[in-house]
Amino acid sequence: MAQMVKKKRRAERTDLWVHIFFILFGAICLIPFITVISASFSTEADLAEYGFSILPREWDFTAYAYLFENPSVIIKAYVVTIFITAVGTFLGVLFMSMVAYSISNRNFVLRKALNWYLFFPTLFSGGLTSSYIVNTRYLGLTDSIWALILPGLIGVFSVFMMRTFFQQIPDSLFEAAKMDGASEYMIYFKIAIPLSKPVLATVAFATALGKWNSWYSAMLYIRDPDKVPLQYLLQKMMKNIEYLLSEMEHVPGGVDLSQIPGENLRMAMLVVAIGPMMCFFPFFQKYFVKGMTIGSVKG
Amino acid sequence: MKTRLKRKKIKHLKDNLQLLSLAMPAVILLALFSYLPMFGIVLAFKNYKVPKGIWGSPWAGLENFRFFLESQDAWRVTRNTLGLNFMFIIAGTVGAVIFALIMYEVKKARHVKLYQTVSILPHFISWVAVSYIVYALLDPTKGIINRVIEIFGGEGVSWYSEPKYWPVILLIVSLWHSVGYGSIIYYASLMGMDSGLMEAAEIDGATKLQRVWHVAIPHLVPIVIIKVILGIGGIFNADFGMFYNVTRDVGALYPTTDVIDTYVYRALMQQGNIGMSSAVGLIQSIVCTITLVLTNAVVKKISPENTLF
Repeated sequence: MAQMVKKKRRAERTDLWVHIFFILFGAICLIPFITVISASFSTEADLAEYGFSILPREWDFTAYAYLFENPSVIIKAYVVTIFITAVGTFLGVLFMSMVAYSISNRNFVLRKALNWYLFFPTLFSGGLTSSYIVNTRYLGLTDSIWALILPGLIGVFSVFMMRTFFQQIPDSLFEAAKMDGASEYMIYFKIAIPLSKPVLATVAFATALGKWNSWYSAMLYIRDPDKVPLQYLLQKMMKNIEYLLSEMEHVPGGVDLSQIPGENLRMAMLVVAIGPMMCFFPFFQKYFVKGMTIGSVKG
Repeated sequence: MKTRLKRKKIKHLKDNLQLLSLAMPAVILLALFSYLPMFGIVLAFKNYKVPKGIWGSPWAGLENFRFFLESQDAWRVTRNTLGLNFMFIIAGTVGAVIFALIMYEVKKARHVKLYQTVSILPHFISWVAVSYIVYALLDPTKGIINRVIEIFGGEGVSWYSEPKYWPVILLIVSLWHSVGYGSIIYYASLMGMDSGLMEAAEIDGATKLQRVWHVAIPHLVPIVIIKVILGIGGIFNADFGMFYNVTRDVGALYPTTDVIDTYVYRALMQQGNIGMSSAVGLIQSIVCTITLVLTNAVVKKISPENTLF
């Protein structure tokens, strides 16, 4: 008996090598981030002399001083990103759940046809070039904020995920509402939506993450510096740091003029751009995990 | 009785109209951004002139296709796309499965959550941000990798001008970005496994490795097969964000990193060669459709409940 208890306890404990594996893997995941943060707190001279490192040689806030002395570039980019994320997520979840509700309904005569209509673009697409010509020439999306929101808003697998979820709601609930004379709008809004919060949250976070991280549409359609979202600003800065410096007229007080920031400013910009999201994200991890495991998303 | 039937019919019609109206926003968005561009594929057969628009431009026959297929680029971008994607699919799957198996050994839920959070962190940043991180590691003078090499007495490599290293670099970056996230589905499947099986094997005296090999891995095989087949279905589509940003679009690296998607992008946005870029895009779309349909047919044979459509 004692032996069995002992055995059981051993089985419950995690082996040491497993912990070591994950600690090493975690280090590989985190060290690059730490390097970036450290670089943003280094002096340009140290970076030029000694390169990047895990800890700064000498703590220095010049890069951040530059950023916060000239906040308009970042604030503008943040406003654009927050706008496209908020509006994109709201409209995306609304439109996707609406169409998902309609195709989850067995009484809907166009159900099959609509399923295929939604799915077909997964099979065949017109490609980048014709999308680009259509959007710029015929839909007038050049320099429009809607170019960052509307294309790709309807994710077919998210729609199918919601549809599957709606279909699992007991029919009796819908029937009862119907008996009471509720319209389809009412049923969608008062029954389907409130009962589907987990799947709505999963889709909402996935959409929000996608919009927050989006840069591709901006690269194609945005030329106006006032409509540049964060990720696209970062991308432009990767290509040339002067882009940001040229937008910054004010030199912060008490800064040695020979120490014009370069790499450290670039990295500080990255920290400011992704930092808040990184702190935010662990709290919503479960929704992303759920999205991976929620099940059937068939066409 | 008759009026009741009639009323029911009217109600049915009304319900259907309401359902249709609920579907409309999504239908319109797809019509504009997915279906309209499908007609734009005629561009591949046109000599596009900006003032004349898509329909007004003169026909070019197969000229655009010939231009691409006769260039040396055709073989290069196809080879890179297929080769690299194939490598990512295999390594990504093997890595994610191993990761999930090790995660299964973690017994405390609290630890699982912590390790999962850290390991999927890289998946939540954009490829643009990843390109900064790779740059901090690989920059020839300041990058950490070269400094480590120099500490051990080696000679630094100018990574951004040596195409031969990039398949491996991209593989590592791709694994870093996706292994933690990709393992979730396998881990969930292991958690759903009947734990009695593992215990029975243990009582029968199977070692840990034997248990993993004979119980856990066979349990995962169906999902692995489906995942790999679906990956193969999309093998002609490269992840533009990764190839464009992580390589910083450096020309010297094109021999091993230029894929169909980056090639089409450059033909369109940098060379303004609309005819050729749409021709290449069309070839890619058609080949993609064929591979997807074929792989779906294969899945239908193996396990019908996992088909895509």
